[in-house]
Amino acid sequence: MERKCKSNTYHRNKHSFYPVDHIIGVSVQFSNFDSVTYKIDNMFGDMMGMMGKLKEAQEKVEATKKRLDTVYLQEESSDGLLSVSISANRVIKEIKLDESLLQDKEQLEDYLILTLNKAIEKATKVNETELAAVAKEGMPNIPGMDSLFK
Amino acid sequence: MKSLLFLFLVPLFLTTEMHTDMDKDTKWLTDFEKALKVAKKDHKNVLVYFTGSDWCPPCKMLKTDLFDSAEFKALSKDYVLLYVDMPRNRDLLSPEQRQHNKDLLKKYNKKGVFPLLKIVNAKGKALDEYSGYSMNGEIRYHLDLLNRYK
Repeated sequence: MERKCKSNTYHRNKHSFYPVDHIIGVSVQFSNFDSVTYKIDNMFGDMMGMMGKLKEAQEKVEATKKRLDTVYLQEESSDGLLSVSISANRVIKEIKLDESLLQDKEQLEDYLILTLNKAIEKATKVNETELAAVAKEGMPNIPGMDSLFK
Repeated sequence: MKSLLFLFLVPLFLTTEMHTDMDKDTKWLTDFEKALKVAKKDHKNVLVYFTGSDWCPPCKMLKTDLFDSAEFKALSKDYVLLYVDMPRNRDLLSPEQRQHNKDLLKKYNKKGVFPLLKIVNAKGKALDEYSGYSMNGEIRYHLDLLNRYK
C-alpha cells in the first residue's frame, strides 16, 4: 500500500511506513546484488566453458586411446631371428621366430625377454607421447598446468 | 590339359590388369629424392605412407578402404605419393630400397609406428601426420589431413 505524505512517498509494510528514498536505497542494493549475480553468472559461464573443454579433451583422449589400438610397432632382435609386433596400447599382436631358435630353449627365453621388453618400452613411449599431446591440446589454460605435460 | 592351364592363367591375367589399373589412378613413388623433385616441379606436397605390408593388419585394411576409395583418388592428384614399406619378409625389398626406407623411417617416423601418413613439403619439411586406422571403414580423419594440405 502506498500513500502520499507531504513531498515524500511512503511504502507501508506490516510495521511502519518507509520513505521511498529508503526503498530506492534498497533497490540500489539490489542493483549491486544484480551486478554480483552477473559476476557470479560470468564466473559460472567460464566454469561451464571450462567444463565443456575438459569434456571435449576427455573425449579426444578416449578417441586417441581407441586409435592407438590400431597403431602398430615392430621390434626385432639384433639378428632379426625374432620379431614382435605390438600395438601402441601395449598389446602384443604377433611374434615371429626363426626355427633355429627352437633348438636352444634358454637362448629363446633370452630373445623373448629382450625383444618383448624393447617392444613394450617403445609402445609405452608412443602411447604416452600421443596421449599427452591430445590432453595438452584440449586442456583449458590453467596456470601451472603446462608443467604437468612436460 | 589346355583348359586347366587356361583356368590357371585367367585369374593371373585379371590380377595383373587390376594392379595396372590401380597404378594408373594413383602413382606411388618409392624414391624420396625423386618425390621431392616432382613436388618442387609441380608445386605439391608429398604424402609419405609408412606401411608394414606383410605384418601390419591396419595397413592392409587402409590400402583397401582408403587408397582404393574414389575420395582418395581425387585428392591424390594434389600430392606426390611416396610408398615406404618396411616388410618383415626381407625378400620383398632390395637391400638398397630397404636401407632407403630405413633412413626415411629415422628421419620422418622416429617412433616407428604403422600405418603412418606424413605430409612433407617440397623442401622436405614435415608438416603434419596421422597414424593408425580403426579398420571400420572410417577414413574421415585421413581425408581431413589430405584436405588440409592439398
